[in-house]
Amino acid sequence: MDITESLHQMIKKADKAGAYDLLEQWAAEHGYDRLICEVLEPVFEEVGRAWQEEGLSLAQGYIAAKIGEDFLKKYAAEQASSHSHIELKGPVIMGNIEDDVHALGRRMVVTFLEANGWKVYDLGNDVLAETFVDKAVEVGAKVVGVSAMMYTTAKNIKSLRAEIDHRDLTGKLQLAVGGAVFVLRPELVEEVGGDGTARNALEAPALFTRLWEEACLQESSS
Amino acid sequence: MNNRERVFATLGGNPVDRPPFTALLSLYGARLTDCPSQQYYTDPAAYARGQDAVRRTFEPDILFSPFFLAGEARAFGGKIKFFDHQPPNLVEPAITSIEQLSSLDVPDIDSDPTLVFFREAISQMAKTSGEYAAIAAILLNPMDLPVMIMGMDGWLQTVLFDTDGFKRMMDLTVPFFTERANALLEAGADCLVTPAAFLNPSVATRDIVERLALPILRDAFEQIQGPVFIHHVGSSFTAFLELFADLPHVIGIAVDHSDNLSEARTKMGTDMTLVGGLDGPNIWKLIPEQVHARCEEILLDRQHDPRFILATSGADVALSTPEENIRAMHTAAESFSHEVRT
Repeated sequence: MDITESLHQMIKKADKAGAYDLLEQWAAEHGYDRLICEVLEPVFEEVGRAWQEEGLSLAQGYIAAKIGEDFLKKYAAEQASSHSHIELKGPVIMGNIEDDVHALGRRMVVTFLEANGWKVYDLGNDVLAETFVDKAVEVGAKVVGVSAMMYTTAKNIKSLRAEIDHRDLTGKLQLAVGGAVFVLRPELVEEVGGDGTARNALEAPALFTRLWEEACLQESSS
Repeated sequence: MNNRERVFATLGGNPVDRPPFTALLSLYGARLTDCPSQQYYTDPAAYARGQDAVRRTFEPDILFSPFFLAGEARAFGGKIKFFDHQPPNLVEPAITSIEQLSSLDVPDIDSDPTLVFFREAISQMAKTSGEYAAIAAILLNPMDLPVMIMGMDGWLQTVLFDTDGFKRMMDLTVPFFTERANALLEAGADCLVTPAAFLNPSVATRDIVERLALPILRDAFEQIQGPVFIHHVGSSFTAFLELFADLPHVIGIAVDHSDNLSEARTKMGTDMTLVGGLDGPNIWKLIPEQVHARCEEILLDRQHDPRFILATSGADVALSTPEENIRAMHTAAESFSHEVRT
């Protein structure tokens, strides 16, 4: 069986130990850089598709995130020891909106963004609208990702939309929204003023790439 | 036949005068009594007043104890936050990793203020409403309670990667759950409702449920001196439904509005009570006529199912829900019964 297919099956079985053995062996022969590009990226893409179409569980997604996080660290350590220069994308901002404290989804998004080469400032739980925008302006971020699990807290994202617009950053600072409630109620993206959403953590890098490009276009045209 | 008698007749598969119905109106009682959130979730008398108002206003056949899962987290030392328009939520769990378990103080169910609140609320509900309606006590089972003690992240990490840590946590939560469950039954609850938030197809794998959870739940439920309902919490439950059907003392399962009720019935067999139908947190978006029509549609589908209870699925009915929408459940049950008889 091909390594990507084997890894995918292990993630579906939530078999972390088996996955690590497999990946370590492959990395010892081919290196962590190739592991990231040739194994993890295509497998995560496939897992993301399966998550959306077959409804994978959070436990399976968690295993995938842990694998991504741990092997990204190994790759970074290898790069540091060889003094290679890693060119990061971004920066971007992540956080849970005011009153929302469900961190796991946000952390998984951060993991997959970092695995995809993004510099992420993770502001944590229960973050005020002004804090998101202050940090974005401070570090030059063009995308803010905000997470909410429930409808009651998702509504607070409207204040972040208002803050972005109030500071004349509309379009230049893109608003990505996500969390369980947006999967159940996609119409909520528009209701709270989001510029885009991803159905799961694995789709987040593609969303942030698209929103970053839109922000750049907006900047160049103004 | 009063509401309480109707529920017990349904549990036994016996004829009833109209289809029973209920809605998760734990939070809604605060609206009916104009009670501030913090008082409602800390003062047993305030909560019981709220549920008495729910009973008088909507006449549901089952009333619920506080749907306040963060309260269990608070009892273990977690920090919670009160909100005006939703139940209190966990802000910071007592611990974040299994390595910190030894520092955790297991709360005493007879003296911890939050745990006493739950029990007293049930006791007072039993006094004011227990003669008329069945009372269901909501509490977390041993596999779901750790999510509140250490957060989903820490618990997933433990379940997936730490066999010894998993066992140590179960050594703590099983006795806590059984002692508390029996105390709530003794206080006046007719049955227990335990949310399967972690043991849900959207979170756990089938292997986790079969290999790890079922032996734990079998052991815990055997020690319970009353009937248990499993609640789906917020997503489709059909994929795991049959796994819970033969656990000791489990007499019913509450499924999601997205679950097919016929399929659920087939998977759980005919001896258990099936609960569900409406999307509770979102019925505020409908008009009463739509709620009525949806209830009729569900009741028609279940008309030959003697162990079915029409109910809202998911979390609390939102505070913004018009009272007429909730009344429409009652009128649908009443009119359906009339139509069937005539």
